[in-house]
Amino acid sequence: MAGVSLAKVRKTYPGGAAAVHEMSLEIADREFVVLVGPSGCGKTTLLRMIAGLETPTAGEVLIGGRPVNGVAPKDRDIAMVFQNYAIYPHMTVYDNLAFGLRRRGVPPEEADRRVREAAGILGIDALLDRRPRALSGGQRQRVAVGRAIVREPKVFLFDEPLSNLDARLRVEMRKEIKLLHRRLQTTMLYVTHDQVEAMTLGERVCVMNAGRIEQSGAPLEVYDNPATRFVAAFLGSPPMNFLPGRLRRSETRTLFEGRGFVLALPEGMTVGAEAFDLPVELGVRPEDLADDPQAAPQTFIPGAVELVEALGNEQLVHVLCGEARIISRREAHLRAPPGAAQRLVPRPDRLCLFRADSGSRLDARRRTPTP
Amino acid sequence: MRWLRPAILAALLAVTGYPLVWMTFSALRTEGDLRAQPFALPMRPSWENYRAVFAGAGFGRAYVNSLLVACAAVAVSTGAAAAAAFAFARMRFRGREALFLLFLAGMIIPPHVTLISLNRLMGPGGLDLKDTYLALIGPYAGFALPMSVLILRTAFEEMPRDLEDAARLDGCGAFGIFWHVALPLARPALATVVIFNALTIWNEFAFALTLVSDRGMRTLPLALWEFKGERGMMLGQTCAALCLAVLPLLAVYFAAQRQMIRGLTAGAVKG
Repeated sequence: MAGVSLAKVRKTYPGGAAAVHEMSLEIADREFVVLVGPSGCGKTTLLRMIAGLETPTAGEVLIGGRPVNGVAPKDRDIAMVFQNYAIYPHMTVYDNLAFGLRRRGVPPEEADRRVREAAGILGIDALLDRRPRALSGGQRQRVAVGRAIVREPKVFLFDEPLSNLDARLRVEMRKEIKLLHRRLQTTMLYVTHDQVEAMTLGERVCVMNAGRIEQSGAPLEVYDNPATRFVAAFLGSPPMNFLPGRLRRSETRTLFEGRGFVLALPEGMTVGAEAFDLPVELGVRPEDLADDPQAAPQTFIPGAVELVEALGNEQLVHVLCGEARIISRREAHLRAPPGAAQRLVPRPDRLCLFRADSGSRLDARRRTPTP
Repeated sequence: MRWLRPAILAALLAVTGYPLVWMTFSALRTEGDLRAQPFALPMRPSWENYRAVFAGAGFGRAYVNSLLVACAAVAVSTGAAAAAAFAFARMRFRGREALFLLFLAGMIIPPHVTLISLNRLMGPGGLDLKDTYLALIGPYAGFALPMSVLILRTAFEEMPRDLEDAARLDGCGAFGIFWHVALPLARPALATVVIFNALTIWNEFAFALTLVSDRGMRTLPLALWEFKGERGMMLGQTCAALCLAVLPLLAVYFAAQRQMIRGLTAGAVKG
C-alpha cells in the first residue's frame, strides 16, 4: 500500500507546448482520487507520468515515499487500465491476465491462483479461454481491469476506462469499480472527463484545466463551493447558470445589476470593495431556481419560458432572460408552458459571484451544502 | 455492371492459370506425344518424365541447395528486417529518418548492377566465399531487406500505443514488446514478406549463375536452365522439373496466406 505525491511536476513537450504546469498533489494511501477536466487539460499526461510512461520535464514523482523518476514503469508497483482496454488480441483472456505475472517470474501455481481469483471477482471465469475479439466491450474492459488486479499493485491508475462503453454498461462498471476499491483497499487514481463519474466515484476530485488543478476536495464540497467559474461550469449537469452584470451598493444592501433586472444580494454575502469596479458574473445552479409569481421586487430574475425538457422524474425549464438563457430544474409535475412569464427566485444562500475576466470567486461566504 | 468484375477476374485467372495447367498436363505426357499435339490432354498419364528428371545429374542436389539457400535467406532477411522495422517504427533515436531513407534507397539499386562488384567481393582476394551457400544467402538476404523493412515498419506503426504501454507496465522491455506483442500482431505483414521474399529468392538466376560455378552447389534455376542446354529442350522433362520446382512455393504460400487474413488486431482496442 502506498500514497502518491507529485512535487512541482511539470511536463513540456518538445516545441514548447506545456501539458502540465508546475503541479503538486498528495494522494493518501488507499485514497480514491478522481482527476477530472476537459480533454487536453493534462490529466492523462499526469497519469502517464505517474505510470512512468512519460518523463516529467521537472519535479518529482513519489510512490510510497520513494522517488520514482528514474524507475521503469514495471518497477513502480502500479497497474494501469487504459481507455482502449489495450488487451493483447493474440492471447486468450487467461494469457492476458497471466502475461504480466509470467514476465515477473511469478511461479505458475501462484499466477494461476491469482488469475482465477481476479476472474472470479470480475465474473469472467467462463471467458478465460476466449480471445478478445470474441468478447463484448464490457467484457474486454473487465479483462483490462483484471489484468491490473492480478498484479496486486500498490496503486491503480485508470485512464478514462469507461468512456468506450455504452451508457448502461458505464453505470454498471462505475458501481463495480467503486466496490472494487472498497474490496481491495488500494490507492486509486482515476482520470475522466465525465463529471458524473467524478462526482460518484471519488473520495476526492481534482478539477483540472489547462494543465493546472483548479480545485481539489470532496466531490460535494467542490460542487457546493466552486473556487472558480470553470469549476462551477464543469461540475453539474446541466451546468451552473451565469448572468453577467455589475455590483452596486444601496444604503442597506449590495445590489446585482443584471441585464434588465436588479437583484438584492443576501446579507451574508460579503464582497470586497474591488468587486464594485469590475464586470462580474452571478452563478446559480439550475436546482436552486424556483418560479414564484408573488416574488417581491429585487428578489427574482424575470424571464419567459423558452422550452421544457421533461425527463420523467424532473423537468428542465429553459428560460430566456433578455439575452441570457437560464435553466431551472424542477419537479416533473409543475407546469410551465412555453411563453409563460417567470419570476425565478434563487436560493439566497446558494449564489456565487465570479470575476467576469479571470473567473475567480469574489464572494467570501461559503455556500451551504446541497440539501 | 454486376457481371463485369467476375468477368475480369475470370479472364485474369485464365491468363495466369492456363500456363500452370498446361505445364502440369505436359509433365504427364511422353515427349513424342507432346511434340505431335502440344495442347492435348494427357489421356494416358505417364510418370516417365519425373523419373528422368531425378535420374539426370544434379536435380535433386540443386533442389536441396535451393531449399537451404532460400530458407536461410528468408529467415535472415525477415528476422533482420523485423528488428530494424520495429526500431524504425517504435523507437526514437537520432538519425532515424535518415537511416530509414538509406534503407529505402536500397530499393532503387537494380541488383544486377552490383553483379560485377559482388563477383569480386566473393572471389579469391575478397571474402573468398564463391561456391558456398553464404555467397548466395548474403546478397539474397541483403536485397530483400529494403522492401521487407518498408512493409514491416508500416505494420509495426499500426500497433496501438496503448498496447505498447500495457506491455511496458507488464514488465516488457523493448525486446519483450517486440517479441511478445509486436511480432505476433504483425503476422499478416510477416506472411506477406515471407511469401514475397521466398518467391524472389527461389527464382533468382543471375546471382546464382555468377557466384556459383561448382555443379554441386547449383540452385534450382540453374538446374532447370540446363534442361534446355544439355538435352535440346526436353519439353516433358522440363515441365516435370518445373512442377517440382513450384511445389515449395505453393507450400509457403498456403502456409502463410492463412496468416494474411485481415482482422487479427480486432479486439485489441475499442471497436
